Amino acid sequence: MEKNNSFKENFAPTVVLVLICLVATFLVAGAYQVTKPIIDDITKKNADAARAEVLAEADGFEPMEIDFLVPTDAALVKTNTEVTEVYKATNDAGYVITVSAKGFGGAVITMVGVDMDGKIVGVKVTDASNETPGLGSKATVPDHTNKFVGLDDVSGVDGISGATYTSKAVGNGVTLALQQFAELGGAM
Amino acid sequence: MKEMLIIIMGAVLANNFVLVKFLGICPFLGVSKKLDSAFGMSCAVTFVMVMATAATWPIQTYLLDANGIGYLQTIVFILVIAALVQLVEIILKKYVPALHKSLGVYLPLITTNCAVLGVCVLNITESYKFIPSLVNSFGAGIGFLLAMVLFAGVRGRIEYNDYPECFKGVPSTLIAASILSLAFMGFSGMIDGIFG
Amino acid sequence: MEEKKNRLSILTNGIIKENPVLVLVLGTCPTLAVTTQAVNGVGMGVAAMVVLICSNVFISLLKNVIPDKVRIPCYIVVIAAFVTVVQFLLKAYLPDLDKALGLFIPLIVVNCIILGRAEMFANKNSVIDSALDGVGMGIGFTLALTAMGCIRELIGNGTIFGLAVTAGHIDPMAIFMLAPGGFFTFGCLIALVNKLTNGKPSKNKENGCAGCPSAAACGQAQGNEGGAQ
Repeated sequence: MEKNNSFKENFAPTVVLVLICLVATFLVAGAYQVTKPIIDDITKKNADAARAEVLAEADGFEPMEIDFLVPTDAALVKTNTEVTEVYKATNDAGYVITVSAKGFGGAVITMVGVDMDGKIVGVKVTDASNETPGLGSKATVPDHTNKFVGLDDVSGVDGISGATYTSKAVGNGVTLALQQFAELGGAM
Repeated sequence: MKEMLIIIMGAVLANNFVLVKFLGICPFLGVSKKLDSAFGMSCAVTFVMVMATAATWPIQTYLLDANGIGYLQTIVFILVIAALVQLVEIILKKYVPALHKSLGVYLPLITTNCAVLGVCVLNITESYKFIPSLVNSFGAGIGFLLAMVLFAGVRGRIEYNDYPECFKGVPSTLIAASILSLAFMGFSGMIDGIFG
Repeated sequence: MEEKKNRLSILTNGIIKENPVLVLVLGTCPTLAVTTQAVNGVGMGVAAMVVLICSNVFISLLKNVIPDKVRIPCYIVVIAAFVTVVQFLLKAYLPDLDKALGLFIPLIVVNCIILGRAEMFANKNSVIDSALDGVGMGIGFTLALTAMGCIRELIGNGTIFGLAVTAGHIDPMAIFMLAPGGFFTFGCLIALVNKLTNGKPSKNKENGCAGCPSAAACGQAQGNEGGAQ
């Protein structure tokens, strides 16, 4: 009788805990299987739409599997600027280069559309969720990013006061994108 | 080395976990009244943070991500933290009873401290390697300690002053915290400058 | 002591009398962190409410099955599972909100409100009552967050829910969108609530920790300190 009780006292709790863990895990895994295709789909759609925005003349994109350019400028290295994707327009209209740079609160992801002459055609900040809304975000809106269009370097665009880090992140990202383009030699 | 220093300075000052990142507010409001309890709690939190990172980082990298079940992160992390806290309490009670007596009361509270789970998750989202993760967690704990200790001093002073009834208690603490947070904002440009 | 509580009073309890954020002072981390914009406040509130309702219901269902010894780890697993599911749903259907709330979505797991209500209410009451409590507390949480969000967004950015109100006419005080502003707004809001409850300071003696499952240890700690007030 006593053995039975202590068995119940010590064994039962563990069994219940393990059972609950298993049920929870199955529930979560099931939810994951259901939502993963949706999540992937939306991510891809948003990325494609953003790419079309920054390089309007392109009629389609294909990713380029190359070794991305590693920045050597001190300013770029300090903000952990790096190239994360390079897409080439299928009709040779240009490239869309996705870059990431450290802003105020975290990484700022920008897509830069460059035409074959090395001129910037479009700039879109796709993720600046860690920047301060109303302050840093001023450097991520079209009013500011459109200033880059038509240029082939960033010296003509001033940062925004009160949004120093975010402006620098966007600017550094665009600079690296242009350097990456130069690396690609403008060649197909 | 420089990278480590930057991480620590960042976690302690410019990105202080309590005053800038808003993690660990509940114990901050509750336990920061007396200096020794503030200090004791913070030491316990720092210890748990580092141990938790030492446990969760390898689990995430070698177990979860390697098998494509990274989405179980939340469940696994919090269970690991809860188990760790239990384990630490048992070990302390058995082998270092003096330490257990002074720190022990705070240990169960630490499981629900958002700063601990927060730092574990942050290390993963910031893609730190193992050693930088540990350094970051240690810095986070020290930042927590700094905020708590500073605050214990501030609250002690507020005690003896006269102010409207409706502000007594939590509101006065929060407003004092806002001023302290304002002071810490001054650190934000510092890290870039110091290490060049 | 098990008189049938008035169902309506359970619901309104969480909204006014025992508002988790403004009266019990629980769940303070997300309150400060995500209320830079009103819409984020609403989003977080609703997400937490969903988790709260689900976990309250489940724990109430299982209250006779879960042994006392392992009840905290069990609650944690249940809550964590629901939080993870909510995370997926947000990533799939509301990705912008997911990015804005960031780290604080998984942190719903350690939100003292959810664990606290599981411990104080769900494991002692029926499923319907627990669900109602979840709804009430969730609404209270959402309202408090929305209020904070509106204030901070209005003063700090001149907009409410993205609609310009004073922007362009008055220069906004950007500090309210940053950390200090959060603390300040929260403190003033609680002071206001205190004033409206007849100037009595927050009636919760342990600064909200009473709802925490670690209340026993906390009580000890508070005893050492001689009270948190």
